[in-house]
Order: sequence, then C-alpha cells, then structure tokens
Amino acid sequence: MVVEDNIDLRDNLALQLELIGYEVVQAEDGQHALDVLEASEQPPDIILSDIAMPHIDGFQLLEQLRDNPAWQAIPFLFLTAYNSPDYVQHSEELQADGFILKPVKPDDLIMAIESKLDGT
Amino acid sequence: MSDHDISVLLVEDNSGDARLIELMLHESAATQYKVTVAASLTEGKAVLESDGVDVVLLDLSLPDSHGLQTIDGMLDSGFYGPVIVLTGLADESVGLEAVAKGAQDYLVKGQVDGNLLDRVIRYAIERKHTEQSLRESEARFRSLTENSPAGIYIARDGVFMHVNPALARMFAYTQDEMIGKLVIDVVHPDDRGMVEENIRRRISGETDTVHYVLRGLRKDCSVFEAEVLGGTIIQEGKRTIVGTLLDITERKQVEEELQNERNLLRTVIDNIPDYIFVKDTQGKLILVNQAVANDVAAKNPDEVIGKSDFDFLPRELSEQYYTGEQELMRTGQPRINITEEIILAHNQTSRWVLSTKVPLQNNEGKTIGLVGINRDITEVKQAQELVARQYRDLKILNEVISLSSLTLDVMGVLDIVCFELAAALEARRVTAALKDEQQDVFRVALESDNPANPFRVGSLLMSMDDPAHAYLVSYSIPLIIDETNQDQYPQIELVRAEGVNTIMLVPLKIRGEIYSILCLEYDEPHQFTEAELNFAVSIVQAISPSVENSLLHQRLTEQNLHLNDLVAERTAQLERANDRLATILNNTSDAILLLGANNRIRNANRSFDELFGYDQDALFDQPFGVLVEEDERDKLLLALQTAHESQQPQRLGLPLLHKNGQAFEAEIAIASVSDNKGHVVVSIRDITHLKEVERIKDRFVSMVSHELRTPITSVLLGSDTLVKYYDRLSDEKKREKLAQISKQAENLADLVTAILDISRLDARQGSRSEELVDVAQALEEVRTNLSGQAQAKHHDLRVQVFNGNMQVLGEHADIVRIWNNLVNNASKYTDDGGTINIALYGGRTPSQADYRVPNLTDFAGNLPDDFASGKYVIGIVEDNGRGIPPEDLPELFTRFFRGGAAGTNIPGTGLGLSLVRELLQLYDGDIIVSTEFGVGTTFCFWLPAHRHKGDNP
Repeated sequence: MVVEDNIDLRDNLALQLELIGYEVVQAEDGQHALDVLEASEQPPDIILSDIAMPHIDGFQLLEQLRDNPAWQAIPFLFLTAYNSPDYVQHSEELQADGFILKPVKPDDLIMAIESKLDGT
Repeated sequence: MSDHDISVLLVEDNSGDARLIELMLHESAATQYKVTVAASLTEGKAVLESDGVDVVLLDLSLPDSHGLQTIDGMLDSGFYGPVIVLTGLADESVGLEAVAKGAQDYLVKGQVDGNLLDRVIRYAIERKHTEQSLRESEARFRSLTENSPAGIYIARDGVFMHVNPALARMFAYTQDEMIGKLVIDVVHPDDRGMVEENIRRRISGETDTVHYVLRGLRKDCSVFEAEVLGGTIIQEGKRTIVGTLLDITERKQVEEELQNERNLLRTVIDNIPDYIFVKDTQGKLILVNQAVANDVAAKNPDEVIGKSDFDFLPRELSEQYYTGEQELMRTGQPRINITEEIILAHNQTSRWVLSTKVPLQNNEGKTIGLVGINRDITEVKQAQELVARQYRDLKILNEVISLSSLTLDVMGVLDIVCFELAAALEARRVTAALKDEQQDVFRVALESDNPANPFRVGSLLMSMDDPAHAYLVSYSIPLIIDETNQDQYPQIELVRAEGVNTIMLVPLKIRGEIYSILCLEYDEPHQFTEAELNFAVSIVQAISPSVENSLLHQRLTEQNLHLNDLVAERTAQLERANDRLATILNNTSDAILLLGANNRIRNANRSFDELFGYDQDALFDQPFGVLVEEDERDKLLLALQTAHESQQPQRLGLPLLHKNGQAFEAEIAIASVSDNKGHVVVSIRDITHLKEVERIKDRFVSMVSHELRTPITSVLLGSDTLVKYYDRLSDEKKREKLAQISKQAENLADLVTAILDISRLDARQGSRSEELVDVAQALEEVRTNLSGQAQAKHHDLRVQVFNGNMQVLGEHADIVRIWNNLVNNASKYTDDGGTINIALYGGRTPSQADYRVPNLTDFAGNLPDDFASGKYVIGIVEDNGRGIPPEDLPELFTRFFRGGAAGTNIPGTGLGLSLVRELLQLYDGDIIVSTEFGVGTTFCFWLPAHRHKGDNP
C-alpha cells in the first residue's frame, strides 16, 4: 500500500512497484488508507507512507494500525521529506519498520521494501 | 329675739293648770306662742327629741318625777334652751334651788298672769342665749391658751392665778404647781427688781402694757431668756396682770451668731488689701472697706459712704465705669477678673487692678446695686513687663546669634546687629564703623536706618588716637556722648549728622582689640536705662565670635581658592571618566542591571528601560523576579545563586516580561561583582529577533523539504521507471510520464526562482531602482503568460483597466513579479470554473463607479488616509476561490508561511505573498487583503503614482 498526498509521486511509486510485480493499493492520505484497509479482504504485505498529509498524517495512521490487532503486524515504512530528529524519534517510538528520507534513489527504495518483505 | 312663733313645751300633769297657762300664753299680744303639753317628764322628753322647742315650762311635781329630781331629769335630756320651773306657792324655795341647778327662772303658780309669763319666757330665752355665747367665748379662750406655744398667765397680788400649759412647760413646772406661786420666784434674782417694777407700774395704772426681756428661772434652777408682753385687766374689781411670755433663748443665739458673722465679715473686709465696695443702683458707695478709704485718702470708710467714682476718679474714667456698671446691673452679668488701669484724681497715680464686679440682688431677685472687688496687680504688672522686656531682649539676642552664626560674611553679621539694635533701642539710626588698617582710622561701613534719612557711608568716624577710642579701649563699655560731655570728644562732634543729639558708641572687640564700633544715634536727648546699656553690650559681645569666625573664614577662603581649583580639575577628570562609563552603559544595546542584596534592582541602564518599557528608576528596589514569569523564577534564582557561589558568570535563556505583560525571549548573562556587597550585574539581550530568524529558517527547511524533496523523488522515480521499463510502457504512458516530469521540473524551477527572488531582494538591502514602470503594461505581460493556466482550469479571467497615470517608480521585473504572484495565487487557490477579477486604477481619484467591481469598500478603514486623492496606482485581484482561514491572516505575508495551504496538494513556497509585500513596501506601497474562508479572496495593493514635473500636486 502506498500512502502519499502528492499524486505524481504516488503515481510513480505505484507504477514502478507494479512493473516490478507488486500489487499496489493507493491512498492519498491517512484517512483514505484506513478506509481502504477496512474495505479490503486481505491486508497489504507492507505499507509505505508519507508523514505530512492532510486529515490523518502518517504518525496517526501508524498509531491506529498498531492499536488494531488485525493490522499491527504489517511492516510499515515512512517515506518523508522531513529529516528532523523529532520525526525520527517519534517514528521509533511508534515502532515504524523504517524511516526513508526523500529524495531516495529508486533502487534503494525497492531494496528497503524487499528487505522488510524478506524478513516476514 | 326673732319674730317667729315661740314654741313652748308645757310639762304639767294637772290639766287645769295646763289649760290655764295655755290660755295665758295665747292671750299674749306681743308674742305668738305654740304650746305643746306633756303630762309627764317622759312624755316631755319625748317631745324635746322631735320638736324644735324654744322653751320648757316645767312643773316639778309630775307622775314620774318629783321635786328637784325633775329639773335634773329635764336638764339631762340635753336640751340647751331655757327651762322655767313652775312651783306651787309653798314651794318657792324649791324654785330658787332649781335655778341654782340650772333652770333659767321659776314661776309660782297662781301668781302668774299673761304679761308676766310672756316677759319671763322671753327674758329666759334672751338670758339663755347670752349665757350660751359666754360659754362659747370661754371655751375659745381656753382652747387658745391651752394650745398656744406662747406662755400665757394671769397674776394678781404677785401670785399666778392662771398659767397655760406652754408657760408651765417653759418653767418645767406643772400647771397646778405654778398656780399660787409668787411670780418673782420664777425670775432670775438679778431681774426680780425690774419685774416687780413692771408689775407695779401696771397695778398702779401708770401704764397698761409693758414689753421687756427677763431671765426665767426653771424649777431645776436653769435660766432662760424670755420676752414678755404684759397687759392689765380689771378682774373682780382689781387690776390684774395678764401676759404672754416667749422663750427667746434660741433666737438670741441665732442673733448673736449673725452678729458674730457680721463682725467677722467686716473684719475681713476691712483688713484685706483688696479694694471692696458696694454701690447702689445710682453708683453711690454704700459700703467700702478700709483699703478703699486709704486709697482715696479718707480717714475711715464712713467718709467715703454716699460718694461715687466721680468724687475720686477722672471724669472720663468715672463715666466709663458708670456706663459699664449700669449695663452690668441691667443684664445681671458679672465681670470677673478684668485687668484695668485706674488713675486716681487726687494724686494722679496709676495702678493696675484685677477688677471683679458682681450685681447685688435682694431676696426678691431685684438688683439693688453691685459688689466690687479690685485687686491691685500693679506690681505683678510691672514684673510681667520686666519679664516681657527681658524676654524680648533675649529673643533678639538669640536671633542675632543664630542669624549671625548662619553667615560667614562679616558685613552680613554687622548688618544684622545694626538692624536689631536700631529696632530694640529705638535709635534713629545705627551704623557700624570698621577699622581701616592702612590709615588707622574707623570708617562707617554700613548703616541701618530710615531710608528717608540718608547718611554718609564711608565718612571718618574716629581715629585711633581719639579720646573716644581711648575710652572704649579702656572701659569696654558703651560711651554715651550728648550735650553734657560732647566737648570732651571734639572729633565725634564733627562727624555727627545734622540734628543728632545723643549717640552711643559700642565697641566690638576681638581678642582685646577693637574691630568695629557701633554707633546709635538719637535726635532727642536720650537717657539710657541700665537694661538698655546691658542689652547693647550683650548683643555686641554675642556676635563677636561670629565676626571672628567670619574673618577666619574669609582668610581660609582666600587660601583655599588655589586648592579648590586643583580639586575642581581632579573632580572634572573623575566625572569625565564616570561619564565615559555611563555613556557606554547607556549606549550599549544590551539591558544592564545592577542587583543589590536579595536580588533587588539598584540600577538600570537606558537600554533596560527601553527594552522593558519602564520609566527611569521605576523598578528601583524591586526584586529582579518581577521581570520573569512565575513558573520560570526558580531557574533564574538558581542561576543567580550559582553566580554568587561560584563567582563564575552564568548564562541562560528565559522568557522575560515587558511592562505590558508580554513575554519575550531573552538571553541573560549574570556576573557577580566581587565587592563583598553581593552586587550582581545582569546583562539582558532580547533574542526575539534571533528566535524569529530561527523560526523562519525552520520554515524554510520544512518548505524546501516538502516542496523540493517530494517532486525530486517523484522525478527520480518517474525517470527511473522510464529508463528501466521503457519497453514495457505504452507510448501514451511514456508521454504522460514525460509530461509529468516536465511539469514537476517547471515547478521546481519556479520554486528556485522564488527563492532566488527573495535572496536577491535581501541582497539589495533596501536599494531600489528608480526607473519608470507602467503598471498596466506589466499586468498585460502577466495576463498573457497566465492565460494558458487560466484556460486549463477554465477560469473566467476578467481584466479591467481604468485609465489614468499608470507610471510608478520601480523596476519592471518587480512589478511583473507582483502581478504574477497575485494572479498566480488566485488561480492556484480557485477551483475549476471560478472567476478571477483583476482591476487596475491609474493615478486618479476613483469614482463611485470604480467601487462597484471589484468592491473597494471592503477595504474602507485599512487604506491610506489619502487613498482617494489620486496619488496612487491601485491594483485589485479578486477570486471566488477557497479563501483564507482567519487564523492564517496575521502571518499571511510572512516568509515561508503557508498556513493551512501547507497540508494541501497545491504547490507553494510560502514566499509569493511575502515577496509581493516586500517589493511593494520597497517602492512605498503596500497591500491589504479581504477574504472569507470558502468564499473568496481580494487583494488590494497600491503604489505611489509618479508625478511628472509640472503635474498638479
């Protein structure tokens, strides 16, 4: 699942992941992501989410996932433009599985996703 | 005798006799009789009880009583009228006996005819009446004498015949014991001759009454005084004496006491030194004491009686007293202790008295005169005046000493003395002469006098070899020169002013040498009292220390002048050094505080006052803590304590409170002063600006993160996908991706341009281009560039240009940038199909029509005062887009601020509006906004229209 408010980035992420062979679900913000999760029969294998988004941001999204037994085990990677120590700390507190800083080279991004999937 | 019928009770058992008598009574022509007949004593008594019987005719021989028993029985009945007994011829002696028993008369039956009977009855009634009166009179007399408090007696032949109880009580005998006693036995032996003589005079008929006092002798031989009023009566043909007697012992005692008191009072009055007098209502003296008599040179008080004030006092004074006393007697208001001066006419002496006058009233409260008491207080008065004079002298002395000790100027001291001496000794003028050291003479240096009487200041008074000088040196006391001795002092005569008669010269000596001579002048011959001489000497002596001090001071002053110059130079140097320090403190931009014990503020520099908004010294002695929010105080106190203990400077950042209650970020440096007084120097720097810069920097980073990193990531991914999977992508997809990448690169280029623009603006540091720019032309360029974008979003872009002077001073690119950013914003934040209105007014006064579209009135009150004057070129960009939330308005024009837009898809840098405003302000214009969230936004900006030379202002 890709959660990103910037439509161009989200589109590009989805396109490349699909071309690699993933099945990609898109959400434009945290609330949308929760709605999509509710609606789908099978939870995604991994979630890649922006932090700064309207309505429900990435932190709030992760928090809700961790509180829900059905979703708490889904590996969760942040992909964010903000490099502040506060953000890093907060994401660690929420036990995010990764913190990837924009801009990221596409190969590195794919590698990070695959390493998390291999671990499960 | 009354004329009514006489009611007769006839008690007669013999009806024949009764009939006969009845007939006789009825025959009487003179009197009408009403006869009731009773046949027995019992029957007769019964009649008496019921009937008003005037007379009873009583036969002694009755069936139920006989003889004299009958008269007794009748008299017992209580009948008060006359009873006439009827007897038989043989019983005439019984008739007499009956009369003796109480019958009024008796008649012998058979010897009676009508006339006799009538006369006897009438006489009997008459006699009985007289008898009754006598008896009542007797009873009254007896009652009087028995109850009288006065002693009453009757004496004949020197023996008491009758005494009343009061008399007996006086002499302590019983009445019985006294009756028959010789009168002279109850008289004190010494008075017996007088009493016998008084009795004799009355018995002999020489006099009828006597009035005298005797000493009575009681049964117990005690003596009392009695007053006797004696008279004479003839009793049984003999002259008998009667009298009343009063015990006057008590009255005598009271009279004696009164007399004693009167004597005592008189003695007191005659012997006290106060003048005591009593006047009648006309002011005539009716009583005076010996003191008054002595005062008016009379032999004794009696000589003064009957005279008045007019005989002793001057007429005017007497009249004044008379008026006052009349007023006093009229009102009844006493005058107590009034101080008055009395002048006696006979020797013209004056005396002061304390006068008290009190109205005198009789028992009925009527004023009958006045009592006066004058106390001579002449001596007291003189003593008081003496004391007052001495007090005044002392006061002047004290004044002179205190005034002269206040001044260190010799002339000032002398001036004070001259002034005071002239006033106190009533001199026409007082002058002070000073020794002229060069010429060995005294010259008048100053004077104190009447300005109308000018004097020659500086004239020669005397030389050192003058006899007057010699006198003053020898005796050290004032020298008085008048007509009697002026020949001895010829020099003085020369310099004396016209008309001056007497002068007094007083030497002022310092350490045995005459330093000054004071000269008092009088126009009239003047006798000085000892007190005046003493006063002059003491005054002059009193000031000599002051004069000496003044002289010393004068010398010291001269000597110290040089020293003073040196001190002044040194002081100036120190002050300059201090000034330098103060200048540094007051001109440093940091606020600097000096704290004393307990961290209280002792001193603050100007920057402190400016930074915190307080007036100078307003916080003096306030604790430093008042400048800090309460929950931050502990941090501050800890730092202060640490600075004290470690003697190491401490630094900390805290929000501090401005006077208006607003907190600002401050950097505080604390350094302990090593002066053992616990002083601490605190330096405070406002770092609000630094914080603000930091905040802007953070925003910039955040903006760059989001607005740069995300598109770049997207571009990287998109291009990577194109490269890696080129063959697997459809042509359409390839074109889409390439267009997307191109657009993102464009946005990135815009962003970089905006950042460069703002950096360029900063680099210019306020310098501006002065080229002429046509605002309408700039708008036209922007419109062309943007119309594509507007078309893409199907915006209705309307542009209205109201012609006028469109020239402003600035740089063309800047004006384009302003338009571009505003219109671009409108387009970005307005949904597809929205409307964007652009209006431009040249430099002319907007007409009413101009206000209609777009609506300028929204900005009323926020525009410059002369907005409508035509001095401005005004641009308006209005959209019906999403509007701006109210909370974003305050920072709308702040760099990198995006507010609510930060969380949207709309790309932006937070620089556009800030750049617009900064550019407008650079060219003396500005921008304001009117917006409603969800409805639309209108921006209105203005720039000063350029005035060509020759334009009307």
